Parts: sequence; C-alpha cells; structure tokens
Amino acid sequence: MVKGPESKSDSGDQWVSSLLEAAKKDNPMVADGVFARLEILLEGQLSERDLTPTNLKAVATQLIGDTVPKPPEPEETQ
Amino acid sequence: MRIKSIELAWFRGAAGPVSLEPNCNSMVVYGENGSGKSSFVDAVEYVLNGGGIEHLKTEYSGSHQVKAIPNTHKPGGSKTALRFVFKDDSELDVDFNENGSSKSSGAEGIAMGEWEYRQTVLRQNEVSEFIHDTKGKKYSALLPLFGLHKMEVAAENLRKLSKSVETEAGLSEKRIKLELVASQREEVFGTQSLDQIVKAVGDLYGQYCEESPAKDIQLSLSNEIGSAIENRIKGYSADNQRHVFLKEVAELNLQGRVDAVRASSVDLAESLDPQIAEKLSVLQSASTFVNSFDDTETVDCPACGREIPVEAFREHVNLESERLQETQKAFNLYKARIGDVCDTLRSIKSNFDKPDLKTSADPLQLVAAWFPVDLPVGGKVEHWKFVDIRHPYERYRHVSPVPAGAPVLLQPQLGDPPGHRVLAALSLIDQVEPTASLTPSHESLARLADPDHVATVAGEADCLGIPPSVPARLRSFARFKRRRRQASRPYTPGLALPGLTRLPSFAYPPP
Repeated sequence: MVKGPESKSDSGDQWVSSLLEAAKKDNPMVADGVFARLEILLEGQLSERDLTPTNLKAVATQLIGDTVPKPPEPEETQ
Repeated sequence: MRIKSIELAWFRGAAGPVSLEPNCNSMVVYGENGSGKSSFVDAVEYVLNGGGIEHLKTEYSGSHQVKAIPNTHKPGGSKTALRFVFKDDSELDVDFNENGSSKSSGAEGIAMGEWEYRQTVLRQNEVSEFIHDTKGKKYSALLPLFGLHKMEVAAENLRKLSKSVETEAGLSEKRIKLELVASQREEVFGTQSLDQIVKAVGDLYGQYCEESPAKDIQLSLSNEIGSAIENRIKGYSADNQRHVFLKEVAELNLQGRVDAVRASSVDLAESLDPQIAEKLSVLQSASTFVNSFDDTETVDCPACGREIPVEAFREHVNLESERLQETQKAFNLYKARIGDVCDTLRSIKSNFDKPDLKTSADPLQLVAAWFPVDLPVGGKVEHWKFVDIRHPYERYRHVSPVPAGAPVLLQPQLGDPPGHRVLAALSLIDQVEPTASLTPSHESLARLADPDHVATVAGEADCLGIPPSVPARLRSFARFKRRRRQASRPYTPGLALPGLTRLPSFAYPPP
C-alpha cells in the first residue's frame, strides 16, 4: 500500500535516533542496553500516551536493570 | 496528499448534495447558521476518526452518535454519502445505511484514516480557545499542528520517568553517600589526583605485600594491603596491638563528624518544626470550625470536595491531630537522643585528646620520655654499630652493622635535644631490625642506659599507667645490669658505641 507523505508512519521517528545519539555522546558511561530500551520505548508507548504510575515504575525498574552491562553470551560450539 | 474536492449528500447539515473544492491555499466558506458550513469539517473528521465526531459526544453517547449523521430533512429514497477526490484524482466514497452505519470504498492507495487529525483539522472553537489560552496551552495547541505532539507526550513521560528512576534507584540517598565519600577522600588524600592515589596504593602494596608482587597497580589492591596490615598487627604483642587500636581511634575525625550530625539535625529541625506547627494550627482551626456544626449536618471535604458527614470529618481531623502530635513527640525525642549521642562522642573525643593519652599513643615519644640517654651524634650512620639483643637476659648475640647506604629516617645532628636523638636511634634500630617489634627495640635501647636510671624510669612508668608488664621487665633488666656491674666483667671497648658517656659492662664475645 502506498502511503501519502502526511501519513503518521512517515514521520520516521528520526528525532528518536538523533536524540539518543546526542544522549550517548553526552553520557558515554551509560550501558548500551539503556539506550536500546529507550529507543524502543520512545518509538512506542512513551510517545503514544501518558504512562500510569504503575507503568512508569515498571519501566524505571527495567532501565535500572539495564544500567548493569550484561556479559556477552558465549558462542555456541557446534 | 491534498484534497481536491469534498462532496456531501444529506450529511449532517448538508441539505442535499453540496461540494467544496479546497484546491487552493485558503478559502472562506460563509452562510447562515445551520446551512452546513461545518459539515465539511465534520466529514473530514468522520473519516479521520474512524466514524467519530468529537463535538457530537456531548449530545450523543457511543453508538447513538450515528443518529446524528444523516440530515434530518433527508427525503425518502435519497442516500447519505461522502466523497473525497484527491489531487491524483483517486476517490474515497463513504456510503451510509439507513441505520447510520457506513462503508468506505475506493482510494485504496490513500490511507486517509492514518492522517494526523491535529495536522488536518482545526475547528473554529479551537481557534477561539487558542486566542484566549495561556502561553503554555498555546504551546500545547501548536505542537500537534507541527506534528510534534508525540514529542510533547514523550517529553512529559520522560520527565515523569526521570523522577521514577530517581525514586526507584534511591538516587538522592546515593548522592548524599557520594558526597560523604568525596569529603572522606579529600580528608585522606587532599587534592591528589586519581593517578597519584593509585601510585600511593602501589607504594603501600610494595611495602606491605612484598611476597606477591602485583602485575597491575590498581585501587582494588587496597583490600590486600588492608589484610597484610591486619596480619602484621596480629603479630604484635598485646600491648602494641592495644596501642595501634587506641591510635586508630584517636585519629578518627570524631569531632568533625559529630559537628556534621549536629548541624544536619538542626537543619532538619528548622525545616520540620515550622511545618508540623503550621499543620497543627490548621487542624486546630478545622477542629474549631467543624465543632460549630451539628452532628446531623454535612460539610464539603476541603481535600476532595465531596460532601461528607460532620461526624466523619471531625473524627478525621482529630485522628490527624493525634498523628501529628505523635510525630512531633517522636521527633523531639529523636533530637534529644541525637544530642545525647553527639555529647557522648564529643566526650570520648576529648578524652582521646588528653595529653597523657596522646603521649602514650605515640610510642617513640613515650620511649624518648623514658630513656633520655645521650647517644653519639654527628658522624656517619654506616659507622655505627647497634646491639641486636632479642632477649634481655641473653648476652650479646651478635653485632649488626647498619648497612652502608641504608635509608635513614631521621639523621641525628649535633645540638639536637636528647629525646630527638633517641628517636633517631630508634629509627635506625628499626631499620636494622625490620622484623623486630617495638619492645625489643626498647630493650636494645635500655641496654645503653644506666640501670639506676632504668629503675627510676620503671617507677615513672608505673605512674604513667603503662601496662605493668613493661615496668616489671625494666626492673628485672635493671637488676640484671646491676649484677653484671658488680661482677666487674672485663670491658671490651670495641663493642661500645663511640662517644657514649655510660658504657655497657658486658663481655664480648659471649662465653
């Protein structure tokens, strides 16, 4: 289906990636997992509706968990 | 995609087929009230909102809204319909059934339902509200027009999320702890950089952990250094261990910490006391106010605005007053106890600051007070010879020359006071005997002293509250030296320290 230029999905959410790039540059010690989750959140529920306190608490807990870098998973031996 | 024309047939206020061709930059539609001007905007909103028109919600709820779509003057046999023609000549048709439900067809390439409503529709009442709105509301109204509504929602959510993260992670408490750590670092290391601190840790590691040389010097080595120091202290005699412990306690910055706790407590009291007093006065006023009503009356809750019985409100006010008074009482008790703890700590600190304890806290100064003997001064240390006696009742076991080029902590100079020279001698003895504890060094020095003087010093040690084992050994040593003096053993000058006024009367080599 061809979409018009004004369609919602055409906004491309470029502001999210540029915002996160700037944030990464300013906070080099923050784990990548935090930015990955923020990207998903900003393209999804964070931009769509006001989050309830319960949702905010859950998201905050996840982000705090992401601040600890996870060790790379060992490669599977074949 | 631009709309080329909108055609309405018996839709809302449109009495008959009418069309509008907004194929221009701006256009004015005028007509009498109820002639159907707003129906064009309604038609656009109907398609964008999937069959909903916002302003109809006030009159029709839910599915009843469909009743408001067909024009009430629609003659029988005619149909309610909408048609949108786009710039590429594709068309979107919406046909309405008799019951008001609709079916769309055509314009498959144009997903008009996905258009951003705020970027497409601005109603006249919204324009009017915008003019009279505050700056903040104008900002919020403009954002959707620029397609920035998502950003506004995201910004608000991020602001709340930031607070939530701060609460969940306990950041404010951690910031306070960090400030404390920073102040402790400044206290211990001053303005030293991290590299300088790491270097100092490396030096300490080399000094205390010689057995396992570190490949990479880092701050985590501090734990090993701490363990090595602990082990070394365990090897000391009980007296020396007590001394180390007392010295450590005496050097704690209790005064500063007590002052900080007291200042924080005062700050807390200054901020909380007025709040509690203010709330109590509000509750007392509320209590007076509510007591003027009969029990049968009701009153509007000042918090939620609901109408509640006077009795319930009175009970609530009394309960809150009691809770607040309990809080005030508990807080006053807390202040008193904190003050008590601070006073006790201050008293402990002042005891440690007493001159007697200070003297005993420094073993070198204590020894200097005990043994004001004259040691030879001047000359070069490598020419000196010290007697290394591990046991006070043994004769000379061997003579240890100070290694040439050995580091000298404190080199004695001519004209130094006797105590100062004793300290220098002790430093040198410690270098010759790196593994020796403090007591053998005392004894080594004691051998250089007159036995009568040692006996006097033993008496002084009793008065100073020194552990009784020390004066007992000194007396024993004095007796030993007197017996040796009476035996008139031959004196060997080669063993004496050059320049000593009182020379030991021991034979060398041992029999």
